[in-house]
Parts: sequence; C-alpha cells; structure tokens
Amino acid sequence: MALLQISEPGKGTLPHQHRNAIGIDLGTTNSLVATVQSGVARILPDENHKQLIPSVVHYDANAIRVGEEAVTIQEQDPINTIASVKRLMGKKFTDVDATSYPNLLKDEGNFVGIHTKQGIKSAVEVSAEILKKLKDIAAQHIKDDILGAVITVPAYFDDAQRQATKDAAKLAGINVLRLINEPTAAAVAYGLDKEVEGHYVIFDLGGGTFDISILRLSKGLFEVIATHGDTRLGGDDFDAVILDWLTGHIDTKVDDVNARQALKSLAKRIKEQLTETETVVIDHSLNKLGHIKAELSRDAFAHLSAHLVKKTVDATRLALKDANLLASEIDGVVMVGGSTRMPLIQTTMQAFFNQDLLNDINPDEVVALGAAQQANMLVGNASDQHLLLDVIPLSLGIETMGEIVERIIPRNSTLPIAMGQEFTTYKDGQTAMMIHVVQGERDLVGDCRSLAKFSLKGIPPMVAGAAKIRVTFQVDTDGLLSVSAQELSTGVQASIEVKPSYGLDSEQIKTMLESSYQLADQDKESRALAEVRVEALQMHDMVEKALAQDKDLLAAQEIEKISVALERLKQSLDHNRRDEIQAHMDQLNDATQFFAQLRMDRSIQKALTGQEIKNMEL
Amino acid sequence: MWGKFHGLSQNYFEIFQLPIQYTLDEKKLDASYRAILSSIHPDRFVNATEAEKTQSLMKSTLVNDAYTILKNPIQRAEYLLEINNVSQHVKLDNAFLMQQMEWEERLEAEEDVVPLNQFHDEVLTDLKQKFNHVEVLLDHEKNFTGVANELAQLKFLAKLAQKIKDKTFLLMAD
Amino acid sequence: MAITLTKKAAERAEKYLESRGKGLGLKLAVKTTGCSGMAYVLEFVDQIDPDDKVFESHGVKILVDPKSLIYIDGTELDFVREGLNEGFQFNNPNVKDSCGCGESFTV
Repeated sequence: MALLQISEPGKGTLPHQHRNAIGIDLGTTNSLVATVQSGVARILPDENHKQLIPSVVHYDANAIRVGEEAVTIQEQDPINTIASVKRLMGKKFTDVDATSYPNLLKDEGNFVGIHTKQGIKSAVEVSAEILKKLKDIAAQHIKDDILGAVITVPAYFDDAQRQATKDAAKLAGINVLRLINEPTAAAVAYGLDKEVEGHYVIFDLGGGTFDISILRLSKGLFEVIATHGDTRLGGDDFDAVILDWLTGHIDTKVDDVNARQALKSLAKRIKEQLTETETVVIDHSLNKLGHIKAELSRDAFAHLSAHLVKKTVDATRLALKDANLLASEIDGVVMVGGSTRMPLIQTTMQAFFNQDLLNDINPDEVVALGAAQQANMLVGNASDQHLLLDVIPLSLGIETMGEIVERIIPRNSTLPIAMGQEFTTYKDGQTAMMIHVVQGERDLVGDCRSLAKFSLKGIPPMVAGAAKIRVTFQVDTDGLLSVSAQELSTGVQASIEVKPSYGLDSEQIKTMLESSYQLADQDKESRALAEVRVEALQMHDMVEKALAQDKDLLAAQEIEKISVALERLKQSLDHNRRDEIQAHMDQLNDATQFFAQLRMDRSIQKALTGQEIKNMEL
Repeated sequence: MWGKFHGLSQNYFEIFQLPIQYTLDEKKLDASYRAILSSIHPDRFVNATEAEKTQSLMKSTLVNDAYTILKNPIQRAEYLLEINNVSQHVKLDNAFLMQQMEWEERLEAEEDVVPLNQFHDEVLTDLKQKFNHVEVLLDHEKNFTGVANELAQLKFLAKLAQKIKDKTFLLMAD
Repeated sequence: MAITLTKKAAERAEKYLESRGKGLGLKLAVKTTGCSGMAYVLEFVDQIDPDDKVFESHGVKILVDPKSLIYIDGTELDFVREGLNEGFQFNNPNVKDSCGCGESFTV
C-alpha cells in the first residue's frame, strides 16, 4: 500500500501520478541516493541502514556484488573487484595509470577494458551496476514509479566523461532528468538559492576528484561563473602519500597485490585518525611484511602532502582569476566531499579566504541531497522555482591546418549554447569532409582532449570553395555536445557520423543494452509496449492541455492538423502495436513543432510583461 | 562576426525589449534575461513533449547568445555594425601600430607588480575613453566607419589589459 | 467528530514543518478522481482559507475544507513504516471500499 507524503500547497497529485524523483551522487569512492519526501531531502539508506554505498563492484562467475558486499571480498579477490571506476569513465587506455589498479586493464580502442570473471567490462558497465544498486535502494523506499534522476558529475568533467555517465544510467534503466555539477548541487543543498545574494566558492575534494567552482547567486538564479579542478586529485592521493611513507618503514619489497591492498587500507585508516587526533602511533603486524612501528603527526602529514594542498590552492587562485574576483570578495565558502574533513584542508582554506567555512551539512551527503532537491524541482513538486544556469567547463574547438585548434565555444559560456561555423570544400566535387572536435585550453591539437571525429557526407558536388557548409555545435544543459550541418547554397542537410575518440559508440551501447535484458523476448516486448502507451497518453494529455490554453495562437488549419494527429494517436492506442503508437507520437510531435515555438514566444512575452509590472510596483 | 548562432532571425535588442543602440540599460537587460530564461529554460520542460523540449532548447540558446553579446561592450558594438551591414575590416593607422610596439615592449620589460598595475590602469583609462568615443560615434553621430577603426584599437587594448593582468598574476603566484 | 493525528504522525509533521522553515499546519482534503472514486490530498498550509475548519491534535493544526470533511470526518492520520518505505496513512471510518493502493476510496 502506498503511503502518502505531504505535498507543497497546490502541488498535491492524484493516486498513481506522484512525481517521484531521486538525486544520485555517483562518487569515486562512495555513492549515495536521496529523495525529497514531505518537503525534506534525505539520504535513502540500504537494508543495513548504510547511507554511503561504496562504489565498488565485484564480479564472480555468476554473481555481481556491489557496495559493502564487494568491499568485504576486495582483499581476497582484488583482481575481480573494481574500485574508483569513476576515474576510468570516458578514458582511453593510454590516459590511465594501469599500475594504480589491481585489475587487469586492457586497451579496447575507444575504452579501457577491465578483465573480470564475467569477461571484459567497460567503466560504463561497472558504473551501471552501482547505479542499479542505488535504483533498487530507492525503489524499496518509494513504492511507486520513479520518474527519473538527477545525477551529479564533477564540474570539470569533459564531454566524454559526461556522456559515459549518461550511458551508464541508460544501461541501469534510469531516466536522467539532468546531469548537474556536484558543486552546484551542494549550493542547492545549502539553500543558497533562498534570499542569498553574492559570490560563493564551492570547494569539493572527494575521494578521487577535486573541483572548485565560483557561483554567483542572485534572486533565485545560480550562475557558475568559473570552474577549475583536477579530475585526478582526491582523498586517494592523500592515502597514497601515507602509503609511500609506510612503504619507507618496511624493509621487504611490497610486490604482492594482496599485501599492497592491506597496506592501502591501513594508510586510509591513518589519514582518517589524523582528523581526530594530533598524532597517530602505528604498531601493526602485517603478516609477510613483518611488523611496522612508526608515528605520524598532523604536521608531518602536512609536510608530506604539501604538494597536493598546493594544487588545491593554485586551482582556487585560477578560478578566482577567471571570475575576476579577489578572495576578499567571496561571501561564503562551502566545503564538500569527505576529504574536506582533513584539518589540513580546513585550516588552509579558512586562512586563504579569511573567513569561517560553511561545513554544517555532512560533506559526504551534501551533493546527493542537493541533487534530490533539484530533481524534485525539475519534476514540478517544489513551490519555489530557482533557475540553475551552468557553464561549459572546458573550451570546445576544432582542428585546423597545422594541427592548430580554433576555439568555437569558450569555456565558462552559459549553457545551453550553440555556435555556427562555416566550412568550404577544397577540392572540385568533394562530397565529404572530416571535422575533428577537441576540448581543452591549449593551442595545439595534441595538447587537448580529442572528443570526436565527425564525418560530413552528402555534400552536393561543386567546384572547390563553392559549397558552404554551416556546422552548428550545440551544447545542451547536460553539457553534452551535438553537431548538425547544412550546405547553405542548396539547403542540403549533410549527414553526420560520429566517432567518439573516447567512450562507447552508439552501437556498443545498443549491444550492451540488449545483453543486459535477461527477460524473455515476449516480456521485453510487453514491457516496451506498456512504456510507450504511458508515454503516448501523457503526450496526448499535454498537447490537449496546451491546445486548451493557447488555441488562439493558431490558424484554424493548424488546429485541425494537430487535432487530427491527436485523434490518430488515440486510435492507435486501441490497436496496441508499439511501432504504430510510436509512429503516431512522432507525427504528433512534428505537427506541434510550430505550435510549441509560438507558445515559447508567448511565454517570453508574458515573462517580460510580468517584469514590467514588477518594476512599476517598485 | 565570427561563429554566431543565427538559427532564428530576431534582433537581439528586440528580444529583451531594448532600444537598438549602443547605450545599454544593463539593469533592464539583466532583469529581462532572467525573466525570459526563468520561463523557457529546458529545466522548465522536463515533463513536456519532445517538440516543446526542442523549442525550449533552441530559444534558450538564442537568448543566452544574445545576452552574452549585448552584455559585452565590444561584441555589442560589433553586433550593431553587423546589423547595419558595415564591414569590420580596417587597416590600423601607422601611429597606432607604433604605439602597439611600444606597449608590447613595455609589457616585456616590466618585472614588478607595482609598475604593471600602473600600466594596467593607464590602459584601462585609454579603454574607457575609447568606449565613450564609440558610444558617441554609434548613438549620436551614426558614424559607423569610424567605429570600425576604434573597435580594432579597442580589441587590441582589451587583449593588452588581459596580458598585463596575466603577467601580474604569475608574478604574484611565485 | 473531528480529525486527529496519532502522536507519531504529529511528531513527524512537526519535524517536516520545521525543516521546511514555514507553514501553519497540514491540509487534508479529498479529490473526486482516482481509481476508486475519491483520492486523498495531504499538503502543507501557508494560508488559511476562512471557510476551512481548523482542528488541532498534539499541537499540530489540521485544516479541512467543509466539502471534504463530509467524507473524512473521524479520520485519524497515522505515520507508518513498511520495510524501508514510510509515510502517512489515513484511517478513515467512512470508507466502504478502497483501491488497494490506499490512496483512493469510495464511501
């Protein structure tokens, strides 16, 4: 039996129409899932009341374990246990330091293959297992349909890494409402959207990633004005510093994977203890490696990790410079990520900004809580409607002659954004061309990250230089790039084939999706039919409602066109054939494109009129 | 103008109900931008039809582009030239080229924060003067060709100011 | 008759109101749709309608509009937990039949 939650005034929904949404923090070390119930965001614990789910996956011959269960097996079977998979997302073998993983990694061309007892797995598939686990936890708490999820990513994630995250969600059967940046989610959790105005720094040091963002908040509007970071800096690196120090205290060489894993765990415990006490005394027996006796103080640890702390300070300076702000102009500093518990980090940032830090929400939970609040708002449950405007973290450019990068979308541009660029052919009768898109701030192609090669085909044959191809690069609100092209003189839409340099292409995703369905074909079909029916009904209602509201915008002929499409969609529902329903949905979509445009213009007019009235009242 | 998005043909000033001129009511621009995006941003269309999602994405993109260009004083001037069909190709006069070389040499030579800050202030004063001049040329004299020349110099000065700032930043970081 | 909260429901409601930072109490109502005739509505209250009937139970204000009251008078609102799922439940003496989901009913 479904239990009721308290809705915001006027937002109560009918039975079976609750708009449940979740927020997911897919972390390097731990992952969390949260939701808003009765107006309050809370972390959803698993059946053992654990809120932090270790981002660890273990592959056995016929079982997959995720979280705590996988951790308990990690020391016995490190080769089949994958941790810190987030660092492999959207990466190629050559980007990865294979020695930092106990697993057997393999070069699979556009992705890193991980050898397991269940064959070769990609980072996307491993992440999908973590997401499935989180989805299951949420389903146990919310005995109702879940509309979708907001998933957080580091602000510094590039296009390939964001795409990989979205692909993982797709494999896990999660509808992604939006990918949002972790720091932005933290700002939402701190309620910085309410009443606060000013410039805020979000300092996020997690298990494996670091990023710093500067947000400008005013009247419910969030703008990320600068972001910097390092996708390869986090608590793990501080562990590694202690690990090195520990190794220095052992005479025997540590060449055994299991022994190394044990030592790694010890290093992590020492780091955590240093948060509580000034000094940690180690007096520990390590089986084959013998006995270790040593002492580590906070000061000594600060000395050992000075180079890591410097990296965070340098990035902070760069972000301030990009934002054109001084440290003294910052109105608040939000601390996010478990690693900000380290006194070393707290005192450094306190001194740098010369103010108390915002750290009263649990730094491990704050991102997931903010994501849940954002998800709740996106599906329409919240009474306040702030607007979150994010930016693209790294510039997008294309390769030109001499392997020089021509920048087309500068970093920190507000999303969504699109830029057009004109290209021409250099040979008579040329019908195809290649566009290489890269991401990064450097001038040479080799110094930037290759994102994808787009091959344009179907250019009408003309003399060299006569064809003018306009290529539009669109980056959407998830920070994901799409490209379209048109030959201007003939209006021919050139077709585009994308070959991502990193991550999986659409064929690979399709294969994985198919193999992940373990249902019989008939079940699969009936489930797909049920889903498309729900979608069609929703669409029908939405268009009908839109017509009732804004019919006056349309000529009789247009209304007729839409009404016919509506009626056909309704009839197709009786026939119960998936492809037929889908086809009629597509037709209704085409028929309402112009109407949607007019409605959007009317919204703009209304918004502007509202603005004028507000000004007159002031 | 390089790399602008022209998918939808509406004058950028009209989008925000602003007069087509260089002098800008920045408060009104900000307020209108906010009001418009609050109503059409893709975040408001999560439960909408595909057609509405597409339109929301396209319009929000256009509004973002328009806002960025109007907000930036150089790009706003260039946009005014563009909609008046004035070419922005100009030859910098020799006097300015000589001055350019002097500035570059000075930037190269300065190794201390204080003189660099002073240099930066001087460039900013120059920039301010030129912006005022652009405003007069565009809004009062309607001398578009004159603007193209000033703009070319403005762009150089803006870049120079940035270079001085970058150098100061590096010196301070050491 | 009246509308009441169990002690547990009142404690929860109070906690939610506090986290929300505003609100005068809870609003209970019925809507005439749903899979078996009528459906419950449970909302926060920011403004009191002069027509609303106001009850108080364990220190929490409960508002009900007169039309809805006919169908839910005598209801006790409880807060229950079933496994990991938790939320409010209407114990309504007027219900003849409900739709299994517990959110809609006939009288």
